[in-house]
Amino acid sequence: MKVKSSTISLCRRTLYESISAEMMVRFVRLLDPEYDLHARSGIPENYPITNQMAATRIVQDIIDDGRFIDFIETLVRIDADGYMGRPYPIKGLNQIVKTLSLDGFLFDRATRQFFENANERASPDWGRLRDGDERQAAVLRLDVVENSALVKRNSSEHIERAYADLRAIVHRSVHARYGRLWLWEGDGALAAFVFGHKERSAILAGMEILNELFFYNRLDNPLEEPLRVRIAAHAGPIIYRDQPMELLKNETLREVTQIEARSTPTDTMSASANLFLSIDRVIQERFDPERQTGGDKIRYYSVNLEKA
Amino acid sequence: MPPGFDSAHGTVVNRDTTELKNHKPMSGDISYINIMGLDDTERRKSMLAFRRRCGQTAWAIADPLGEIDDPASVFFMGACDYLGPMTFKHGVDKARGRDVRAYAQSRLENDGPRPSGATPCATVTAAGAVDETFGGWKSVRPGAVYPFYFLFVAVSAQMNLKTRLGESGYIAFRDRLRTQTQQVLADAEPLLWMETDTTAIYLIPSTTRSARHAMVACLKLLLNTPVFGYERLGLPFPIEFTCAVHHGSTEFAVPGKTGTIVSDAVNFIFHLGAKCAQAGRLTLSSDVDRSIIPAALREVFVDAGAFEGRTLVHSRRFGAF
Repeated sequence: MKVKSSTISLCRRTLYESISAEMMVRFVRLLDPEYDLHARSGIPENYPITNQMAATRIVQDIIDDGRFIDFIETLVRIDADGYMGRPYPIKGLNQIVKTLSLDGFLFDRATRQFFENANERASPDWGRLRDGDERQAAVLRLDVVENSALVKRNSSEHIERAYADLRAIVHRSVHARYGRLWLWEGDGALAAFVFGHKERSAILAGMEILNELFFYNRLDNPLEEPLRVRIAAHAGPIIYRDQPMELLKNETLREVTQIEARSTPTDTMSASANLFLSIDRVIQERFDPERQTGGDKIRYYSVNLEKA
Repeated sequence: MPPGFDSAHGTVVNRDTTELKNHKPMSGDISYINIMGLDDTERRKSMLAFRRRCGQTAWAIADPLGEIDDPASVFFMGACDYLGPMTFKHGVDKARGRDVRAYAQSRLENDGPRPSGATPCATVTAAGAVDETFGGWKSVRPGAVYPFYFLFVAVSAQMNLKTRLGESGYIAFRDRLRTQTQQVLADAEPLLWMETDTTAIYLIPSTTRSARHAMVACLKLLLNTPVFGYERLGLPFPIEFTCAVHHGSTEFAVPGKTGTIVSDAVNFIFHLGAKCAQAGRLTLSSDVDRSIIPAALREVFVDAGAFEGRTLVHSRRFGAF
């Protein structure tokens, strides 16, 4: 991530005017437990480091390591909640938050996290992840049922329109919840949620897609038949890779594809057990009871209409 | 008729006088007249009679032998489809049926009612089709009487919401609910007209377009209630929406100054919403033009009996059954 020099200066000043060099290092170690200021700056340990020098070095290292946004989030948390029972008010932090907003990041006060402003850009790494970063993620896999047959039975113009509409529905549901579409093949999509309430976001996005398709198939679908999908939601560790093909080698992504393919009925979303436990009861109640299917513990959601 | 043509595409009426006289299309129907074997004068007469007979509903021409020299002329007369010899040869598909309905609907919305002495269909109330244009809420004058669609929206939970959320939490919830509901209904150009502690009455312009948007928005709201309540309203417990729509005329007053309004339609929508409409459903009174329900969503509605002299339909519930 590129950080403007004015933002760098502001961050340095904020640090050295608010906290000591020792506390700066402790805060950096919340992100990088191995961080050694003396080693990174080349100053021997028996030489004292001034607050200004520490701030300059730390801000530069944090930017080089691609952790600038994470560091600001940490400072926001410390400013609000204190650290180890002691308050550490950090002057000028609001100004940094405002500056980042101008750089295309939105600050969500509920989760105290920065998100890329999806109206400006939506990069697969949220503008924050680096190749090799390991994160807990919730993932959503969507597959269009009988894609090949649909393509054969309908004109290419209608197929293109229907798929563009589906993409728009999925895009809206995923991006509105800070998710990212990592892959869009001809007949399916893979979306990831890494920040915020990720499990909840994946589940709600899947529900919304099915709900939207219920109306789309009845009101706007140009095809001769309904557009039907299978959706699977799953959670687990992900190692982020810049290359999509490398990304797909993640075990969690393989698992979600398997759940979708072998355990998900048409027009249904399946949620794996490890993801399902993280969501609130009010949403859990909309799912069927847990079933053991194909070696997976799964709960299902689908649009059901009361019998006439 | 062409291969693939079935009742979903429309009803076919032959030029036979008795059949034409007995033809009574319902809202949303598409009627085709077969003009095979007619000379120019007879054809024109039949088409005019057929147009009158169809009134506000869509009508179209079946011309298996290609006897009409200028097929475009039938569209100028108000037809919404023309099945020519090539169509009879190659057949029609469902997409064509949908396209015809969409064209007929857009034509109705753009042209408004035809001034040809058309007789409204049995299910189309006079008020329902009076004015298909809406000039914005600023053009509606207080003190004057207008036809409107009245939309009743109420939200409820198992436990009293005020008790559950506390006074200040409830006020914040109401603000969020108001904003979010108006966003959901935005395409219907609603006006939040009256509001009590637990209910709201929206005025919807008396146009098919707005009423249809409002109806679809309500159904989407009912289906999305769990997501809407949890995510947009921030409620950690389930809620239910009750929606009801009625059509009628009332004197208009600006929101906040509606205390002196005396109107049968306003009374009815309050009674309907508070006493009869069920949570989790959208209830429509018989005064609501049924053509606002797109054909593909008719399966969602079922009869709901009668209330205060009007028959009702309501939507089937969404959820786990």
